[in-house]
Parts: sequence; C-alpha cells; structure tokens
Amino acid sequence: MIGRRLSIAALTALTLAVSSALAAPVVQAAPFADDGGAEWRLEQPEAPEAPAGIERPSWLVGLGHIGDIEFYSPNRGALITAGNGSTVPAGVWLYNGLHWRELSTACGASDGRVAWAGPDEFWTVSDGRPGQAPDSRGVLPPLRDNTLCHFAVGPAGRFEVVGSYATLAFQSTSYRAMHGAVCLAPNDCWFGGDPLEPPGEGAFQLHWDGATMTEMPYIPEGHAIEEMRAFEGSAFESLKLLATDTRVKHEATVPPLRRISAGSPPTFESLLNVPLYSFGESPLWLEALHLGSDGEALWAAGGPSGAGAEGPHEPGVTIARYSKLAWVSVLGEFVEEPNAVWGQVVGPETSPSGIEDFGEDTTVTSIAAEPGTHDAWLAIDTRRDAESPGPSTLASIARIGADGTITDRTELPEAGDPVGAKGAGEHLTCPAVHDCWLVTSQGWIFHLSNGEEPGGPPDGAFAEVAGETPIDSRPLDEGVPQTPPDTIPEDSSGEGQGSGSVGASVQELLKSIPSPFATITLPLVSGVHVKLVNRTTLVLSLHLAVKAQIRLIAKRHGKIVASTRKQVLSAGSHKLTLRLDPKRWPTKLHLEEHALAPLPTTTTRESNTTTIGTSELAPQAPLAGSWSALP
Amino acid sequence: MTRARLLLSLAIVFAGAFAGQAHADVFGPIALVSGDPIQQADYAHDPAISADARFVAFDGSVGGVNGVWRRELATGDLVEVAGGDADLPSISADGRFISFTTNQGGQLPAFTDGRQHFEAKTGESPNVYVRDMNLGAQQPGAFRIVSARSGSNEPLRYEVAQEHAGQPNAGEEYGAVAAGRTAMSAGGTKVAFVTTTISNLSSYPQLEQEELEHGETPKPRTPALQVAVRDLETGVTQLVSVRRDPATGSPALNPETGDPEPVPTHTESGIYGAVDSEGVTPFFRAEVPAYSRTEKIGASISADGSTVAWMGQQLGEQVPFLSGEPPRANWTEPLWRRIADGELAPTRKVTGGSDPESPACQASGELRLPLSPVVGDPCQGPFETRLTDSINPGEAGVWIGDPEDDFVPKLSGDGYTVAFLARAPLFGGTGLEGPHSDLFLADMHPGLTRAQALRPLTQFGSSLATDAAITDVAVSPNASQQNHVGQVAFTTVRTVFTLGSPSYVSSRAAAPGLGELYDVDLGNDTLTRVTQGYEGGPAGHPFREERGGVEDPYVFFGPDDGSLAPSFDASGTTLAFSSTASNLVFGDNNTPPGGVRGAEDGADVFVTHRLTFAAAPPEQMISAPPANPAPEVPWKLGATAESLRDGHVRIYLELPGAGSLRAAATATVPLRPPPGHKAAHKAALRTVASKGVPGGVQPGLRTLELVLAPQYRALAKRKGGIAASALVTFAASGHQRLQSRLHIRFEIRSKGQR
Repeated sequence: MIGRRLSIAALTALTLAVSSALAAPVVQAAPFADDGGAEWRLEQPEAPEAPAGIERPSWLVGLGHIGDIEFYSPNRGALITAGNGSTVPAGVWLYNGLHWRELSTACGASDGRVAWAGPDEFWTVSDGRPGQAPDSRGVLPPLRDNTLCHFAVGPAGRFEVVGSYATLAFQSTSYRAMHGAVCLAPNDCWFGGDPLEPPGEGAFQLHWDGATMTEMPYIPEGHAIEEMRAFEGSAFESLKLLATDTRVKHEATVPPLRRISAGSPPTFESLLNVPLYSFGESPLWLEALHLGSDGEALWAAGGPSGAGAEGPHEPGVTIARYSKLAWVSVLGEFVEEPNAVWGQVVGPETSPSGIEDFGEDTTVTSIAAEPGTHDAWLAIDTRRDAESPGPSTLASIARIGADGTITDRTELPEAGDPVGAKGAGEHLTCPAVHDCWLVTSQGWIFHLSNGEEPGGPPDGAFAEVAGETPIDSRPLDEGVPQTPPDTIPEDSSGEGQGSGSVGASVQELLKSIPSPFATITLPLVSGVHVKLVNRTTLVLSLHLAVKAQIRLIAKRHGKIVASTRKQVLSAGSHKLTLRLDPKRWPTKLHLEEHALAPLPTTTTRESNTTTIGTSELAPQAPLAGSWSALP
Repeated sequence: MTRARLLLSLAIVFAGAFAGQAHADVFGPIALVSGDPIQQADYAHDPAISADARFVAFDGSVGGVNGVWRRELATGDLVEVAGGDADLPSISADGRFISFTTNQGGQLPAFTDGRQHFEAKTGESPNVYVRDMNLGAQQPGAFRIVSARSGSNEPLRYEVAQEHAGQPNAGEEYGAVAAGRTAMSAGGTKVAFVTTTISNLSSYPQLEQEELEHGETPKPRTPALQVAVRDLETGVTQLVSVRRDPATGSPALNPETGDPEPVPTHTESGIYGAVDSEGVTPFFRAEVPAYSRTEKIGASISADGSTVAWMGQQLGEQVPFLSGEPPRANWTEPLWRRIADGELAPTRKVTGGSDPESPACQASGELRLPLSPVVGDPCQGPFETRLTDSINPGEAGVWIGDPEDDFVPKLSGDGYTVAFLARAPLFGGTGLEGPHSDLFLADMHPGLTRAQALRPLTQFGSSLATDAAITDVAVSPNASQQNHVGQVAFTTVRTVFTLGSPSYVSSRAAAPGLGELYDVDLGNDTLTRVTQGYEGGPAGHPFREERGGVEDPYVFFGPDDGSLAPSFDASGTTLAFSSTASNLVFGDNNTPPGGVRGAEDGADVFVTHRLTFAAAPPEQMISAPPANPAPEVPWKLGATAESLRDGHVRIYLELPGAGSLRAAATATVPLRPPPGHKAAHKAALRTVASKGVPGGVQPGLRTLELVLAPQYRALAKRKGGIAASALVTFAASGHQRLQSRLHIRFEIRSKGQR
C-alpha cells in the first residue's frame, strides 16, 4: 500500500467549515487522496430535544461515553451511550445513512455493546433497571452492563424493545457484567463478560437461539470476555488474562482468544497459536485484544497491560491478522491459503516492532477492518489516558495494512478545526470501504466518508418520522419472576397473523415463548406442621430457607394469649413450642417471620426442576405469614 | 376615619407591599459562559467578571486548550488570555487587564497560541502576570510581570524552602501566586500577590552588595508567605505584610533601607508566615490534571486599590495582642491593611477572640482574657477562640475551617467591608465550635469595636442541612455594611439557614445535595438561592443508584464539588460563578465518561442576573370606590313633645315612611259627682286629647298638635297643668305598626311663667 499523506485544508475551507459548523454539526477534515476522496469529519448529531420552554443549545453536544458503535450496513447503525450529564440521557441512537437520532432512552449502558442480528434487529448489553432490594448488608444490586435488550421492528413498522433479559441480583445465576456481544445469525447470538461469581468458576456466557436465552458458561476457563466478533461463521472472543483468574486450563500458556463454532451443541476452542508474543513474554503482559473483522480477515490488536512486564519482553502495540489471504513478507505479496491462518502484522517479531512504531506507553483502544481493502483502522491512546480518559486528548488513529504498513496516521480533530480535542478514540467500525466511524471517549463521532450517501435514502424503521419520540421503556425482564395475573388472559390467539413483517413475527414469537428460565424465589418458611402435645402444648415444626427471626403468636379474638419470644433461627428445620391455657384457648395463630439473608431461588434450568406455577412451588403453609384457624 | 382617609391608607399599605417585593432578589436564567459558540469548555473554574459586566475571565480547558480565557458576554467571543498552566484570573473593571498565575511565564507569548500546552515543563517558578487584552499575545507588553521586586521588571527570584528541598518539581511549584477574582484593582493597575517560598521581594543592600562583590548572585532572603501589591503604573512593589513594632504600633522599619520589614516565618512545626498556610505551604500545580483546581491562597485588594486583606497567621508579628497572650504562630485570623494610608499604616485585626485595640480594653489594663468568658469583659472579641485554641495544636484562632474552602477574605470596593469565613464559635453563643465554616461581615470603619463591627450572615445548626461549610464568598464592589447596601454571595451545601437576618426568601432544596449559590442583599436583608436546575430542581449531577442508600451521595465528593467562585459586577447585578452541576443549563455536556466523579464533573462557568425592579411601586390599578350605598332607613318612629303656652302639646315626629298617624293623650282627671251626690276626690282616666291623620302623611319630620278637649281645658289652667300620657301610633301598609309613648303636660301659662 502506498503511504498516504493528509492534505492541508485551505484557510478558506476552514472558514467555511467554521461557518457550516454553526449551521450543522459537521466539521471538515482533510481527505485522503487515494481513499476515494474520503476524509474524517466530525459528524455530531444534534442534542436531544430540550424540555418545553428550554432552548436547545447552540453548541455541539457530546453524547457521553459511547460503549459501542456497530453497523449492519452503511445506512444501518446503532450506538449505545451512558449519557452525558443532564442533557443526553443514557440510551441507544440509530443511524439511517443520513443522520443519527435518539432511538431509545431505555436500555442505555455504563459501557454496553451492540450486536446486529439482522437488518432490522439488534441486541444491546444494557444496564439493569434499579429497584431490586439490596442484600442483607445493604449492598445495592449491580446494574452495570448486566442485562440485555432486544430491539426489532414492531407491528407499527418502528423499532421497539421486544425483549428484555435480566436476573435477580445476588443469586448464583445472576447475570454478570457483559463486555462482548455478537450475532452469527438472528437465532444465534452470544454474549459474554466477567468470570462467574465465586464459588462458581468459568466465564459467563449467554446464548440466544432464537427462542430461548440460555446461560452457557465456559467452565474450563475463568477469564473475562472482553470483546466478541464474528468471522467465517464463528464467534471469536477476546479474553482478559489476569494472574488471579481461576481455573486456568492451560498451565503452560493461556489463550488470548476463544472461538465459538455454531452447532448443536456449539463448540469452544481456545486459540493458543495466535502469533502475538515474543519469546519469554507472558500473555498476561498484553491487554485483552480488540477485534475487528470484515469478510476477508479477523484482526486482533492489543497493547501492554502494565501487568509487571520487564525489560526487553515488555510488549508494545501488537496486531495479528487471521485470513485465508495471508501476506507473505518474503514474497512481498498475498498468498491464498485453503484455511485462514494467523500472521503477526505489528508486534515484537516485526520490523519495525510495535514499540518502534507506536512507542512504549501506547495502547490500542479499537481496531476495525475496512471492507474492500486489506487494511484496518487502529485507534491508539496513552495507557494513562485510556485508564482515565481526559477531555483534552486528541483521537489518535492510523491505518494498518496487512503487510504492517502504517499509513494515514493522524489525530482528530485536526489542527485548525473549529472544535478542539474531544477525547481519545475508543471505538472504530467500518461498515464499508471508505466508510468508517470513530467515537471518542467524550462521546464525539467522527466519520470517514467521501460524502456519498450510503445505501440510498432511509426507509422503513430507519426513516425519520416527525414528532416521533424516543422509546422510553423496556418490557418486563425475562428471567425475573413476575406475578401472573389472577384473571384468565384475554384470548388473543390469531392476532397479528398475516402481518408478514419480520418485527411482528419476532414479537409474536417472543410472546408465545414461555420464560425460558424462570427464576423464582423460594419461600422462607416451608414444611409447617402443627400438633398438640399433652392437650395444652402446641408444637409447630417448620423449615427455614435462610437464617430468620421468628416469633409464634397465639391470639383469642384479637388478643394475644400466648407467644414465643423473638428468636433468630438458622436455616433448616426447627420446632417452636407454645404452652396454651385451656381457659383462654386461642382462636388464631400467627407466625412473625423476617428473613435475615437473601432468599434462595430456583430456576427451571436446574436439574429436577420443572416449570410449575408459583403457588405450587411456594405453597403457603397454614401458619406462614397469615392468620389461620387452629387445627 | 373618613372613607377618603381609609382609601388613602389602604393605598399606602398596597404600595408598601409592592415596594417590598420590588426589593426582594430574584435571579434570572443561568447562562453558560465557559465555551465558544460551537463547543462547551472541557472544564472551567475561577470566573472573574469585569465591573462593567462585559467580560468574564476564567481558567480551564476549551477544545483541549488549557489556560486563562476571556469571554465577552454580549458577543460570545472567546479569547485566549494566557495559555498553558495559567490559572486564577482577576480582571479589571473594563476587562482590559487580567492577572493570573503561571509557572510558564517565560513562554507566555509562545504558549498563548490556541494550542495545547499540557505538561509543558519550563522549569520556571510560579509568578503572577497581567495580560493587556488590547495587545496581541505576541506583541511586546502584552504580558507584564507582577511578582517582581520594586522597581524591577524581572520576576522575583526564589529559593526552595528547606521543607521542600528534594521535593520533585518544587522549583515549579513554589514562588508567587495571586488569588483568583480579587487580586486586581478596578483600574487594573494594582495587583496583590503572595509569595509561597523565600524570595528576593525585600532588599538587603549590604548583604547583597557583599555577595555581588564576591561574584555571587544575591540570595533571596525575604521570608516566605508575604503579601505584596504591585503598582503596574509606577513599577513599585509594596510589601503589605509588615512586621509590627510593638513599641510604636507601626510597621517596623529596616534600619538599613527604611522600608518596612517583612513578617518572619515560624518553622518549628510547619511553615507559618504572614499568610495562612495551615503549616504546609500550598503549591501551585505545575501539572493541572483535567477537572482539578489549584489550592487556595492569596490576598484580596479592594477595587479602589486602597486596601488589602488576607487570612493571616503569625499574628503576634502583625497585629497587637493582649500583652499576656502568648502569640502562637498557627493562630489564624483575617487581617486588613489600608495601604492607601501609607507605609506606616498598621495592619488591623478584622475580628478575633480578643479586641486589644478597643479603647475600653486598653483602658482596663487587662493583660489576657480570663480562662472562662466573662460577660462585659472589655477585651473580649466577637469570637470565643479559647475553644478552638485548645482543640488542636495545629489549628487555632478564628479560621480553622477546611483548607479546601476559599478562605481568602473578600473586600468591598472601598475596602471597608470585609467578608470572611470562620469556624470559631461566637462569644455569647452556644459555645460550640462550628463543624464547618460560617460567613461573617466586618465593618472596618474606625471607631467600632470588633464586636460592634461584626455581622454574622450564617450560623451553623446541628445537621448537614444547617452546618455544611460555607465554601466560597464574594462581595459586590458597591457593598457597604455600614450603609446596608450591596450584595454578598456565597456557596454551600447548606440548605437551611438558621438566622432570621438575613431572611431566607427562596424555596429551599428538600435535602442537602450539591453545593449551591446564595445571595445576601444587604439592602433588604434577604437571602436568596441563586442556583437551580433548568427544570426547576436543585443543582445536581447525573446520579447512579449504586450510590443510593445514603443520606446524600454528594457528601462523598470533595469540597470542589458544586457551585463555587462567585464574582459580582460593579452594581452587584450580574453574578458569575462556577459549578460542577450538569443541570443548570440544558446542553451541559462535559460530564466525564465513566460516570459522575463528583468535583470532576466538568465544572463550568455561568452567569446570572439579579432582576431588579424600579424603586417606584409598579403601576397598579385600584378600582374606583363603590357608589355610596342607599341608606336603608330604619323602621322606627321618632317622637318628642313640647308643651305650648296655650295649653297645647306639639309632638315632633320622625316618620319612616308614608302612612297614617294617630295620637291620643290620656290623663287622670277628677270626676265631678252627679248632682246631689257628695263624692269629691274621685278621679278617672280619660282621653283628654286626640288627633289622627288618616293617610298620606309623608315620611320625614312632622309635627302634630294635641289640643285638650274643652271640658279639660280648665284643668290646664291650674298650676302644673294636667299630666298626660300620649300614645302616637303610625301605621303603613306592609310594615309593622309603630307606637311611641310620651309623657306630656297640658298647661296654660301666662306670659310671666316659664
């Protein structure tokens, strides 16, 4: 590849850019001469509508931390944001080839991920909704990135959140924070994240098969999953390797990547042969790899993790490429292989090395393969800024060829732009050739474009509709027990038949599917049995699910005639004894109960568990929690 | 009271009510200042508004370019004042001159180029400069040194104090600094600054000459922590913090130079000098991380350049003390000196635990305050500092607040009104030390004891809502405690104000949250909450539930969180301030990624205007008085009678309406026995006179005459006449019949009888 040079923007162009920036949130950048006239430019969407009576800001507004930006096609994109102050709420934004618009103020995320499942359907890793009770120590449930939202086009032809997936907190089966999401097909999506909560071991993974969301942890290894990317029909996971990780399967080395191959059951393969390290270099010294892929290659890039690397083995920026079209440096040309093979593009074994190319303190924040080329775009940052992103950092990017050539290294915004630094680049994606997107740590969006409108005018659910307001709610969470109504639901069978739309079919499908893994809280008191001994002594047997404070009270016509003292009993079976006065024989008994620990749950996934009604699972004992007549 | 007077008095009451409202303070919408027309600043602090309310200077980062900036409010034009690490601006009345502190002074023209200069090490000490905004940054004279020796245009030379020797970057952290907002006089010609390490501020000619003769560079010898004022017109730098000569009460003069001597530092358990250092000299951050602020230190100069105030230590070297009081270096009180009165002008205590300058105290001969407070003690100052002096050997005096609070006293335009923070309890109060600082005013006009001069503006209570610290304060240039005019603004998390004066007139936040801005109008003695979210709620950050379960998530955050750094224009009408709140203005979008980090939530600079109303009562409509009501005549019969000389009786009647009238008089009359009977002295009741008017009698006053029947007329000729009872009956259709009984007398009198 021939090295590219940035053209110098003329002063007049800058002036025009300034004036146009005031009118529209698009700012100039220099074109790349041999990239179809494409150039990076700031393409910041307008701020959300201001509340009634408040003026919309005249200045450009960052969207806050954008956890992910993904495209199905050049005119079908979505990003997820944590929001920005009181101006931009957390949520999801949609791109239609012309503009970004706020799609949803529900399903935002602290970090979040987006995975397109089809042209009109995508998933997000989103924050949990508040409201669950704290644990016995008062710790509030974690909310970061531990739920899923399923967006699809609904019957009205507009996007809806057709499914929401979450779990009760503090359970062994609670969803962990997820950092990776990928769909190989609409009915084959994977989500992965933190290691399982101890004492569980392994990596947390969820799988969507088109009907059911299933926990499929990878038990043999306990590394956190940082990114997921699809390539050649498989899902690739990058792993965050820490010395403290549990259950390390491979003692000699640990895999930086894992491949999930579709199938029934799916197969998992730890990838040990990725050419990333120098001799003597520990895999722990390289941070989790960032992944990018197009139809030709899967790219993996990382920088030093800062985990105690020493001397000459300290890694620099390291980039590997996996493709059937392999670059053979000795030949100086590409060779087509029967199967995809890995090659180190930049790293300790290349000349120049990653450190020589990018310096010692540089880390990779994102990589994206540019379709139709043999190249990938790379976003880099200093380690210090990556750990604590500052607003004054410029976004540093470079284009890497499969042969390791580094071209088009630049910083955005460029000098002379009317807007200044907007943070380091954090996520790159390229839906098409000469069509890439970069979001910065402060929520600013840059677009590599040659000015062509990709994919024609927006249509369908992507078209803008005047007066349409963002989605502001999400359905009840699948996986969290919900009280069924007492009444028989209205017969709606047959509704929606023949609608023919994909979104409608997805929604109907979801409606028809019972909760795939209902998680239900077990009752505190069970196995209640009462008997009289010696005519005047009442013995109550019970089983406590957890440690609890218990008191048995006997009342006669509303007045207490006998009671046990309040006592704290551990989980398990117990007997309470109450001596009764025949002359003041009670008419009712009441058991005061207060759990001192979170109640355990059970799910339909667990062995020997079948999906049954709540009333069957948690039978109300005659004495538990309510007044009842004496036997 | 007549109806007219009643209406007049009502009008006065209404006018008074409206006039009262007209003087209550209302602040208009809050506008974002820190940014340019297309982008908000990354973060901004320390706004200083020009007296003409045309410009606001602030420090921060805009588009990744750090430094001091000036924004013109009317046009929105944003101009870089000084790039790099420049910090803590003050601004002249017309906005032309802006002072600031930087440790890149030698590179100012180069660094003021619209580009990033983070972490650009120059190896220079911090110094104070002034930028002339009428000149381009690269033009000669655009930047002028302030922290220079008198008569010199070279920056002061410094020596790193022994306490900081070996400290990395110490050379770039200690030198001279100027307080933000209040370091410059209105004309821009005088700038107050403080040295934070040993300097060559004062001259020692003999020693310096000797060093020069030995080919050595003269050593800096002026102790650290001095206050000085540079007159940019004359090039004279005047030492403000001067050692007091106990014998004369005036500044001690260097016998060699005749100049006042600086205040020595005390270094036994920390560095204590003329200016409060908490024992540890605050350093100027050579490397300012995003969102952080520089530590507070400095001195304020009044707008007229006449007066300087600072938070002092080493009080025994600066102001008079009771002779029996052992002066401790760490005693901390606000100090005041009117430099316009010349080099021999003394430094004065603004307030304190004792008042040794009170004439009554001086007359009493008291050597020290008694161990327990005594009411009427002529030497007792306004504060009960025995408590604070005994708590912590490291903290004593009036100011023992949080060092993060901006404790630099603030001055009115003429310097006579001082606003300061203090934590010591007031004498005669609860005797409890405040958990955090409170806000006070002191009147420095002569003739007042310190107790008379003091006015508390806040008083702590017993909960976070009532005792959170007052973190920053500003005084409008037109303020006068003596004349009860002007404004005082302050910032605090506190939401409940326990004093009745000033009277809190705003809605208060439901619970303590982010620090907010308040304004005291000295004219109408009201306290107004200035800040609120654009949708009406309290100022705040975006908020995660993870931080729930505690009373207030913001108390976890640092003191730099919330509203800070208020600054008034000349009239006290326009108020600039900074705040980390993200909901004051819609469009605030510099909350850092990764969630809220309290004080790191991208502070911004805002401006708001106090809405003033005409002093005259506003136009008002008072409806015309209603028409006089038609009097409703009571249905009553009025009747009186008069005996006439001719033996008739005239009855005067007031008739309520038209009707018929009848009057009849009955009297006991002697009966004449029938002929042949001898029965004298018998009498009987008889009608002796009557008269009727059957109808048509009109309402109003009427008369009716009763005339004795002829047979009784003789009786009327007797002495005393004939007494009778007259019954007057008035009848009208549809009304109750009215009757009135009168006692009358028929008597015929001769002309001589009365």
